[in-house]
Amino acid sequence: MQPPIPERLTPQPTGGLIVTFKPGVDHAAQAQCLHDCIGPQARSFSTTSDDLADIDAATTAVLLDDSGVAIILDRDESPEIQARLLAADQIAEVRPEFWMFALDQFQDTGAATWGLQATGALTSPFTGQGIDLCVLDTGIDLQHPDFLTRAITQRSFVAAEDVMDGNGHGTHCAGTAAGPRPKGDTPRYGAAPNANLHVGKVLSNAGSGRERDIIAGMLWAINAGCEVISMSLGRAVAAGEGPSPDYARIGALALQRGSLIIAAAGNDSARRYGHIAPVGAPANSPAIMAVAAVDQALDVAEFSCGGVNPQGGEVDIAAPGVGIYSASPRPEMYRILRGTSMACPHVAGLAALLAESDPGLRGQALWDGLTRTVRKLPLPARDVGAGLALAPGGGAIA
Amino acid sequence: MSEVQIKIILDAAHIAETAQYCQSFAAMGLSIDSSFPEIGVIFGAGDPALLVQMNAMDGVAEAVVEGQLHGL
Repeated sequence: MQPPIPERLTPQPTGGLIVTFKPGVDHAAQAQCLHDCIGPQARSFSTTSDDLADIDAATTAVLLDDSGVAIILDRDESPEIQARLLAADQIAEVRPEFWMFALDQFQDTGAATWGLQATGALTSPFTGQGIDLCVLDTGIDLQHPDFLTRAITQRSFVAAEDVMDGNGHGTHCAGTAAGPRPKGDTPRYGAAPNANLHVGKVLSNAGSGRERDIIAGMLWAINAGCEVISMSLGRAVAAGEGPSPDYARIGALALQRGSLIIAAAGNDSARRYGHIAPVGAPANSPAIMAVAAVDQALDVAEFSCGGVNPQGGEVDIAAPGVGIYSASPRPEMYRILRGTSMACPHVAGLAALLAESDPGLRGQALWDGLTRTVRKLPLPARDVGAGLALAPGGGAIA
Repeated sequence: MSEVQIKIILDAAHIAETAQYCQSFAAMGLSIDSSFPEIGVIFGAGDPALLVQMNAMDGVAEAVVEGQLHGL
């Protein structure tokens, strides 16, 4: 079993050291101290000049003039150096140097995933209580500790396979949509922790599924009265290809019955090469909400499909889909994945929160509510639709 | 020729006649697997030549080889 808090959530040392001299120790004494402890390659730099860029590979330490602080660069013998520094009378503190990150990027914390922070799900007063949310995917690990006590309505539509997730994709998606409130040291990763979770296994343990099984699952969820249906699945379509009438009809039927089907837009783009692939099926159906993926900087994900086809092939909304931490079948327990598959259940969970907030928001009204209350992003609608999906009352910057 | 899995989508005006179309397709040699009268969609297995015949029928929007979808 993995530790409850992944290593990536703890501060990451660079291997270097930060040294703080005691007050009153002048610059010459600081330099001599560094020389005594680590050798002659320590260099001094003025904190008001731009010569810090001149640090070269031979430099072992950087003494910042007038600040009383020195940086010992990463070296194999850092523990021995640290011991010598700690023994020096002139030094007040020696601590590891840690990697730091730009604050304009969301990060996972010990409390919650970055996706729940960015969308406001973490601070929303709503939890999906009373809302039926269905995830159609590769099933779920019903014995996972985070779902063991959860009442889950489940059914497999895959021949000769029960709902047990032998792939991992479905458990991850279900976790993002409706994973539990945090327990112990596990960060919260589920957008709607109190939703009534329905799991339809429509993809096999190999990760793919027949259309007949997927359509059967969609109708099962609609007939069960699920207000929200999450589908992190699809297929690529050709440029200029329109939506298939069967999925268009199911999407329309769902809206008519008060259900909202939300689907992943697809991962077939290679944006670094200028290629934007069209939104795949069934997300390209006009009555199915297509979800694009954004990263921690709220930029469109490299792989995320775009609205380049007509007749429903547009992106409708965007959500976190890079570096997404969620549940994984035992014994792995948790893992990080990326894809519009990860963005889709974020929107599904947020839709459940919005549906809980107003019983009048069902079907098309829920669609309209979701796309109306987004955080606008400085990106083309082709890539992110209306913008970043937000939780009701979550306090995220809209 | 080996059988293929076939998806038939009826046009919107014939959705209510899904059961009758199932009978017609079965008579043509299609082994019906499942049908969804709410949306006018029928799945079955049969000779690939059926695709041409079915696509020529009145009331059929499209008959295609059934596809697969994948986790994204």
